[in-house]
This record gives sequence, C-alpha cells and structure tokens, in this order.
Amino acid sequence: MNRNGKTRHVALWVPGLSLQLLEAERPELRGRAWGLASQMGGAQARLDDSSPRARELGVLPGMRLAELRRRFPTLPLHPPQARGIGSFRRILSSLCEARTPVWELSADGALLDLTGTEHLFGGDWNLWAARLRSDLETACGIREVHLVVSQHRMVAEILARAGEGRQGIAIVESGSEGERLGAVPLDAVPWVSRITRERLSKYGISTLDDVRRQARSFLKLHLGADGERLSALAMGIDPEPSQRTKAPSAEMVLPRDENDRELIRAAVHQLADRLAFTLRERSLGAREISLRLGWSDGQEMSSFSRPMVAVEDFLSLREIAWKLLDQLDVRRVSVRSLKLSATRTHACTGQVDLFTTPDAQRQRDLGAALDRVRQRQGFFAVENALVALSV
Amino acid sequence: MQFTVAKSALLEALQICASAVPGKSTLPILQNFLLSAAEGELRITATDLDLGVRIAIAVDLRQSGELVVPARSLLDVVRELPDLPVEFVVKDFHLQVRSEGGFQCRLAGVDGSEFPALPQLEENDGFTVTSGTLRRLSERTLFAVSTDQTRLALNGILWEPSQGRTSMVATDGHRLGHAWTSTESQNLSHSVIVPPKAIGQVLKVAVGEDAQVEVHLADNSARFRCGVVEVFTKLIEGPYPNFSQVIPKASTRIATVHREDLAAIVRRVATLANRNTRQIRLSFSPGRLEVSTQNLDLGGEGRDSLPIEYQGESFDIGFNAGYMTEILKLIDTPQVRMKMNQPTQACVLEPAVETPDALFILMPLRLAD
Repeated sequence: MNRNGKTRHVALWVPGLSLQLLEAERPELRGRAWGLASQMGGAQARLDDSSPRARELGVLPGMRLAELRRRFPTLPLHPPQARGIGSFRRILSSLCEARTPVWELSADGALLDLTGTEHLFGGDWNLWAARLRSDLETACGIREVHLVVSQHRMVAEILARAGEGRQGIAIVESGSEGERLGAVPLDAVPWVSRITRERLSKYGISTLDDVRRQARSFLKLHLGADGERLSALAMGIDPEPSQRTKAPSAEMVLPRDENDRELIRAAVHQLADRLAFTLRERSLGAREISLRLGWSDGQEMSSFSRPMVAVEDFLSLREIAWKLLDQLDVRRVSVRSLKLSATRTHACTGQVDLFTTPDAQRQRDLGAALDRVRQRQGFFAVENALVALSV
Repeated sequence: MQFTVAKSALLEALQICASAVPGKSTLPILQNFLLSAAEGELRITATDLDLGVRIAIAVDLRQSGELVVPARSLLDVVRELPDLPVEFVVKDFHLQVRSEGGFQCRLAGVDGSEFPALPQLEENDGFTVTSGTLRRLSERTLFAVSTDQTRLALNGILWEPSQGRTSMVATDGHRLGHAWTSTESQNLSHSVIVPPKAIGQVLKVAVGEDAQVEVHLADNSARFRCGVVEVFTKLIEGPYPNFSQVIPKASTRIATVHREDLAAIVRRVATLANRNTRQIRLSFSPGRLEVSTQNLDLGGEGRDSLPIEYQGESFDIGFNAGYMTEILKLIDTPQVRMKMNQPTQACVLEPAVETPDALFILMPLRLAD
C-alpha cells in the first residue's frame, strides 16, 4: 500500500514480440516487408504476424498462407524463434524481480505490482519507464514497449494492449478508467474471444464505449458471466480487483502518544467526519460501527455498536464513536492510534425515515453540501465547522 | 379424563389452536396442546408464550381431568378420523382415542401442570368491540408494522383512545397507517401496543362484521374473547414514538387523484423500476401527474401520466412503488388526496372525503437529481 492507499499496477506489453525478437537477431530485416508463420505448409496454415512494412502492403496477420503466396509470391516468411522467446522471458523475469517482488509474466509482456515502491525511485514514472526500456533494449534488443500504470491491473493491461504508453508511460488516474477505456476496441480485452467479438459486432458493439451504452441485462443475456464482467469493465470497474473491498473506515495515528481525553475525543470527532464522507460517497449506511484504540504499549482493543437505524451522518457517527471511546479508554496508558470503521453496512436506497429529526436532516444536507465540494477539491479542501471548533 | 366429542367440532377447534403452536421452540412443551375437561366442556390451549389461544367446546363428559398431548400428532390423527363421534380416555398419562368407526390409538402425554399458564385477567375490566371495527382499523395499519428488532415498539399496532374515539397506528419509519373509528366510543382507557399476530388471530376467528369481541387489558397482557375462542397476548412495551408529531399539520402542495387510475399507473411503471429501490418518480404539474422510472440495470425506462386536480407549482418526488400500491389498495374512496410539502418530507395520503377515517403517510425516496 502506498502513501495514498492506492495500488499501482504497471502493465508491460511488447507488440509483435516474435517480430521484434527476430529483428533484434537479424537487424537486416528492420524496415523490410516480411511475415512470420509457425506453420509453413497445409491448407489451413495462416500468417502469425507481419512486419509494419508488410502491413502497409496489405499483408495482415491471420491471412491464409495459400492466399498470401498467390498475392505476394516474393514475400519472405520466417518461423518464430522459440529459443529467443524463452531467453526474452528469462531476461524480463530478472528485470521485473529487480523492481518489485510482486510480478507475473503474460504471453507477451508482464504485470508488475509496484504498490508502495514509488519512494524507491522518487515517484518519477517516466524515469522509471525510460530505465526499463533501456534495460530491455540492451538485454534483448526489444525497441517497442507499451507501459501503462493504473490502480487496476486489468485496466493497465488493456490500455497497454490498446496502444497507450508507446512513449514513456501512460498514467491512468483513479476515477478516469471508464473514460480512458471508452474508445478501446474489444480486441484489446484479453479475455474477450474472437467469437464473442463477432457476436457483439452484430449489434454494433466494437468498443468498450459501445459496451457501456448497453444494458447489463442485455450483455448478460448474450454473453452470460462474461457479459457482466465486460459491462463492469466498461464502467471502469476492474472485474479482477487487486484487493478485497474493505469496510469503510477512517484511522489516525496521533502526532504523539496522548493522555488528554479532550484531544482524543477531538480525534474521534475528525474520524467520524471522514467516515461519514466515505459512507455517503459509497451510498452506504452503517449498521455496525467499530472503534479500535491502539495504546503506546502496543496493545489494541476494539468495541462496536449497532445503531437502531443505519447511520451515515457525521453527528450520529460521532455520538456512537464517543460512546465507544468511553467504553474503551479505561487504561492508564497513552493512546497512539484510533480507527473508526463501519463494519456492517447496507446500501442506501434513498428512503427518507419518518423519525429523522430536523437536526439530523439538516446535518445530512450540510454533509451533502460538503461532499460536493470535497468530491471536486479533495477531502481537506473544506472542513466541518464543528470539527474545526473541536480541535 | 374421559369424554366423547364430534370429530368435526374437535378438528375445527384444534385447527384454530394450532396457529399458536410454534414451529420450532427451545421449550418442547410448547409444541403440545393442553386438553382440560371440566363442567361439560373441553378446553384446548396452545401457546408460544407470546400468543396463546384457548377454545372451549361442548363434550359429553364422563370424567374431568387434563393432559398435555403432542399438537401435531393429535391434529393429524383427528383429521384422518371418520366423521363420527370420538371417545377420548386418559389413563396413566396416555391419551386413548377411539372412533366409532373402529379406529383406536394411544398417544403419550404429559401432566397438565407442566404446561405454561396463560395470563389471568380481571373479568370486569373489559370492553366490547365489533369485529368489523377491529378489521377496519387493523387492516389499515397492519401493513406498516415494522419487523425491525431494534425498534421493538414499532413491532406492534398502537391502539389508543383519541378524542373520544378509538384509533390504531402502525409505522415502520417509511410508511405509517393511522385509522380511527368514525363514531365516538369510550371503550379503551389507555394506549396499548398489540402484536400484529394477535390481531390477525382474532380476525381469523371473528368472522363477519358484527361479531362481538370482548377485550380485557392488563398492564402487559391482553385477552380477546370471540365466542368460545380466547386469544391471549403479551403487549409490547412502549413508549410508542410520538407519531402525531411527524404528521404534517399543513401542506403546501395538495393533489386529488383518481385512486384506481393512479394505482394502475404505479403498478405498470413499477414493472420497470429497480428491483431493490422500487423507485418511481411522480412529477406533478398543474392538472397532470406523470409517473416515471428509470432502471440503469435493465437499461430501460417507463412513464405514464393521468389528469389530476392540482394547481400548485411543478415538482418531482420519488416513492417506493410497492409502498404506494399497498396504501392505495387500503383507501376505499374513488379519489385520493395527496398532501405534500417538500420532496424529502412526508406525503400524506387520505380518502378524498370531508371527514376521512384514516390517513397514511408515505416517506419519499431521495431522487438522484
């Protein structure tokens, strides 16, 4: 986990890996038209890949070799070099290992989990990318590499395959995933098969933007579970999240170990404000609230409360948290850390409660107004006056 | 104990009592009937400790006594007997059943003193209410009884004297039903919170509109007597929230709508509403109401409109379609009056007559925009 609490996944994808490896071994092929075919004979044999120059001439991967030979009788064909690919994978593995302990290889690239490592290279992603490119070119002659960094591994992988990050590294900011994925063709989604793509193209769906415009039920009807997965991806939700969804929480380590009850209460006050914001942002109500205290001697203790109705407003959360604090803060040891969590939540339907007091309603409206500012400017852009006064 | 009884009368009595036998219980004795025979009648009792039912039927009694017998087994046996008189004999805590058709069986029983006693209530401290009144009041409130175990007082119907009349109220915080008698009646001396199960049980046995139901109240229990059937119940401890405080006193937006047309439109549009929120949007404009919904999961939307009597400014309010349909079913006038203030405040629905005998509150759903 990095300091922002966000994961960082880097997708590395080498377009035309076999072509690039062959060109690295035989530099004379660079800039010329040629094709790659693992099977040279037989009626069903097809072209695996073609050089950029050959593509310009109309030689496309997937063409039948029989047709290719009829149309381009002089085009040279070369088999892929299995040894070269093996050696590339070994080199890539060692390069990944040198950068992070968490990585995995794919058929033509790699995924690196660089969460919490930014401080090791100063957080300059472009410098990091330049070094990796240089190492790859020196070690195995690979010149073209796509690099994308995102909070979600699948998003990074898809965008790299879709051609982003050709130069430097493409950085996908959290929240912009849906927008960035919009124009991506379905070919770039690794688990969407050719048959699925063909079925979707019948309905005019060829990009993730097209997918987003379709109802989830439509996609589910036609593609089953893959449809739901695709729909989520088009919305910017990674179908393979890097980490489990945690209970909404807010925590704090006090600047120094504290015995002053008023200061600890003020800290709880701030946590309640932060938790209320998180809950409203996710449209959740808390049905169980836990407070965990950590003392300077390393001991921790927690207690929970189940309010009569699901709460999402700052004042109710604060009252509950203060009661929990009274239950917990019974040791004669100074407090070091606090964590307030909504351990049981339920989705808010927006149903107004008959017994909501005008005060609670006012607090809710105030919270909603603060949320709107915070969503645009960040949480600390504006402070609840009650919190400010309490500190 | 020894008596003879007609099968049909016994079966009917057992079936009424069986509704008080709990399906599962940590106290095995509760899954039994208490049979007590004395003074020419057989009393059958069942209870789950919260609700108790006792019924007395005339029998040809030869020897009095009491025994606790397994409820399910006895009911099954009696149900399968031919429609002829049946003789019951108790010997050594075993119940022997002999039908005139020739059938005989024995069921092991337990001493009657083991069975939990039903509450004792003073005979003279009661009043009478007709089944029709009870049905009218409870039908309009039962739907809103809460099941939330954290707000126990809302798990019952508040039955209270109000301005010389009797009224019933129930709410779960999202909707409220309040019904009152149209004529003055000074029967009820104080407010009580009655579990809905007890009211339901009484209404099952009080058939018709004019059956007299005797009600006896104590501090924490109540007894309803309708003919030969007595229903005992524990009352729910209060206090009941001050509901009158949350009923809007004045409304700035009042619309009168044809009830059946509105119900039909709400049902139609709700077919497309989100399954979890059941949210529909009511857009009021002078002379017209549009009901619409949007379902992002389904990728669909629906809308319909109808003419209404409304002259205020245009505004939108969201409701749970299920709640609204339920309330519209309970209003028995052709027109319904909707009284609203703000889109996040309570909406009052009532029969559009001069002196309504019920009102319903429906809390809105916050609309996204």
